[in-house]
Amino acid sequence: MYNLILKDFLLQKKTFLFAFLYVAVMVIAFRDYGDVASIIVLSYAMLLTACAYDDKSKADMVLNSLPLKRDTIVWARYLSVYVFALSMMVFYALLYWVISILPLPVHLAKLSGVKAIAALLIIGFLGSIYFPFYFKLGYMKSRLVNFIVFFLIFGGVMPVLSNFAGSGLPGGMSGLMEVRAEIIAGLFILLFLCVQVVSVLLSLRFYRARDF
Amino acid sequence: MAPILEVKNLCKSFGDFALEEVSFSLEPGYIMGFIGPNGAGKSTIIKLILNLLRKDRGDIKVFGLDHVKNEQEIKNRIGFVFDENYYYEELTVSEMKRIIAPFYSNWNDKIFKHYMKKFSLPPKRKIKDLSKGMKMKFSLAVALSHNAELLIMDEPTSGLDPIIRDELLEILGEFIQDENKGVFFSTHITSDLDKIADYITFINEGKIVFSSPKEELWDRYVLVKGEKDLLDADIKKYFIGIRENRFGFTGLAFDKENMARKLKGRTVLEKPTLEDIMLYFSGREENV
Repeated sequence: MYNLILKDFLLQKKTFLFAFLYVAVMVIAFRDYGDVASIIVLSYAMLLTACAYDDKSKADMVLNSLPLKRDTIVWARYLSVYVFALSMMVFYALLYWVISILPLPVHLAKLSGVKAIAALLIIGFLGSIYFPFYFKLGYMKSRLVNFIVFFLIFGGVMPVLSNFAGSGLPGGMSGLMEVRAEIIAGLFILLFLCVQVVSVLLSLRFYRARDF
Repeated sequence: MAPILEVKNLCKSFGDFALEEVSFSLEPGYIMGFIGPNGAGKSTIIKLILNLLRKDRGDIKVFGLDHVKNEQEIKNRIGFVFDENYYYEELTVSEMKRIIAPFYSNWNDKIFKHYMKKFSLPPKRKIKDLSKGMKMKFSLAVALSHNAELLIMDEPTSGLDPIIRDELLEILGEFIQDENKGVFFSTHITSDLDKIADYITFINEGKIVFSSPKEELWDRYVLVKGEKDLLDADIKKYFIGIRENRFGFTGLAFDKENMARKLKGRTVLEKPTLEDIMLYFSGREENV
């Protein structure tokens, strides 16, 4: 499984160069939540690029001719989402450190533990939505789902994060969050886990049945 | 000794095309050439053997093991070369090797380096910058570097020049020196098989036409050339296919001994090439 993820990184060495530009845009566009936004967007972009490379190379032919279980290929994809997100966090932390020691008029939001967990949950959720379609239909036919997921990021997740950063919690939710923040956080995590489990089971089923 | 590859009553339907009751087997120590026109089902059968396609019915055994139940063990002992490059074009040769090698329990880096040198493959060059021949050689180097016992090759010589094709045939000749190993080699360049194959399996429109030792084909079939007035109904029934022109006819006939007796002195009888056999078999209805 390590090798499959390593392959995704080797294929995307250049992505890290473009990451500088992405982070700058995200910081301006999403103010204090530019850190979470850039990590989510960059991780999802890496995920899609990895899938696109597999499609371009018709990699399923070679991967499934190796002594490798189809399930391992599916698990590696799910795991790669978190590895991408963690690598982007390390990259962001390095960038934050470099900018903070340089006399530049640029302010980067500091990536807290809570925000890091939120980023992992969000990117994990987005991957969970996308993967069953990817493993069922392949990369080309699942592009519509990409569009919807990107719409979710920019139309749904980011404005909510910006609201959190700007004027606190959305109206009506703040009281509830203050009182029962832990319960709600727990429910979100439970919901996330359910989505992830269902997504993995569907992806395994679809990919086991695929013809190449 | 059990066959190294055994396919029995294999069926797979795609709607407009179907493989019907495909059966053949390959003993260790031999090279089997798998021939047939484009679209006959050669690549489909190779994909079914590798479980890249799921069969509808039938049995496939590799090393005496079921190809689905023992998929990982079998693939660990198989080397494959496809008709086109399916490796990541953006990676270098050494990066691709680094990804693939750990999947094989018997990977031998010394052997890989030996073939890299033999084939003059530059390790730092991206796969997309390799020529078609170099890509095939890289696939072959990977296939030979984990002590594979069976090589499965789908049109590996397609689009390659005769020099590279000859190099490949030489490697296969060396590989098969170990009598526990086998090669299953699909191609439509039958002259390659004339040189190295021990067995020939011929598929046409999803059905196996024959699967037999190459030498038996020379005993069984004969290329007959003669004048058209010899072709009466009694003679025609011995032909697989006949091509006529204004000077006479050429045809592939079975029952070589009988033909020689019946047409003694009136025709020229020649040993057919595999290409002759393939051409006449795939166009039988049109020609007779």
